[in-house]
Amino acid sequence: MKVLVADDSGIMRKIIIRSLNSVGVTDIVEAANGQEAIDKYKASPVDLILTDWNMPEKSGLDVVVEIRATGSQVPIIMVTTEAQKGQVISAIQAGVNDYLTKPFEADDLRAKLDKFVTV
Amino acid sequence: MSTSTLTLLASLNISEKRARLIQPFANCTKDVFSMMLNWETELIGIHTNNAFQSKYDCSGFIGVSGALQGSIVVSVDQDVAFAAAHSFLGSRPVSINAEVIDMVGELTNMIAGAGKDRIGIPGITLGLPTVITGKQHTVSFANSAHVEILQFSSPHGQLTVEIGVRGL
Repeated sequence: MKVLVADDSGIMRKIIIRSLNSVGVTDIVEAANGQEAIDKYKASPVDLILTDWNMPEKSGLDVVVEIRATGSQVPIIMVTTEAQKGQVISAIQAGVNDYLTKPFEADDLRAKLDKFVTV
Repeated sequence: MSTSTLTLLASLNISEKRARLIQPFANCTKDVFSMMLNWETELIGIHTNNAFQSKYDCSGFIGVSGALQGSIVVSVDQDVAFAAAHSFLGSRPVSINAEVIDMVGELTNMIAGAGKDRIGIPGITLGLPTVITGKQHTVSFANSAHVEILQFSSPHGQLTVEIGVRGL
């Protein structure tokens, strides 16, 4: 299983990758901004995407919209500080499959991964 | 909110308007350090406007626009930054390097983001975090901003969250 992790914080990518490793996922692609995430996905599709919302270049919402516009049904988990109801609804309407707000505990992230990771 | 935080707010006779700004950020700062680092932090001081000037080594800034305008600043000294990086990364840095700066930015992002959502005012927008480093630097806000400075204790030293905004 191949997973794309998009977050402009390297620390946050490491935290997410550590959780992915703990559930057996080692084939991981990293992106430090939204445009890089879109480019990497289009170059080599993955089986799961975890993306931040607020990133330079393009936002996580842009990532979701552009990837869904290709017809892809890849599961996407938004991992973000944006927790207002309207934003969660916007993300789901754009095609996000699940939503995790920062800050989170390791078990919260693990529970989300368990829904989508098949190793 | 912890009993000690409520006691502190009550003992300082904090107005409802100030509490509306203070409580969300007091709560979310405790949550961020507890959930992400497993650190217990305690609110130990609240100051308004220029009654207190923190001196720290590393400060994360996030601009606030829309319904409120200003900045949110999270400041830590080197020891707190190194201990937090150790918790996140598993190794203790020996200098304020790119990973420490990234970590302070992300902590600032989480505190500001969670505080923004809990304050209950629609239409607040946050920018991306910027981190300033420098031994014992100070942070100043424009005179027109209302500033709340929240001091916290942690197992590895003190930290400060400053909210300087107009429009409250």
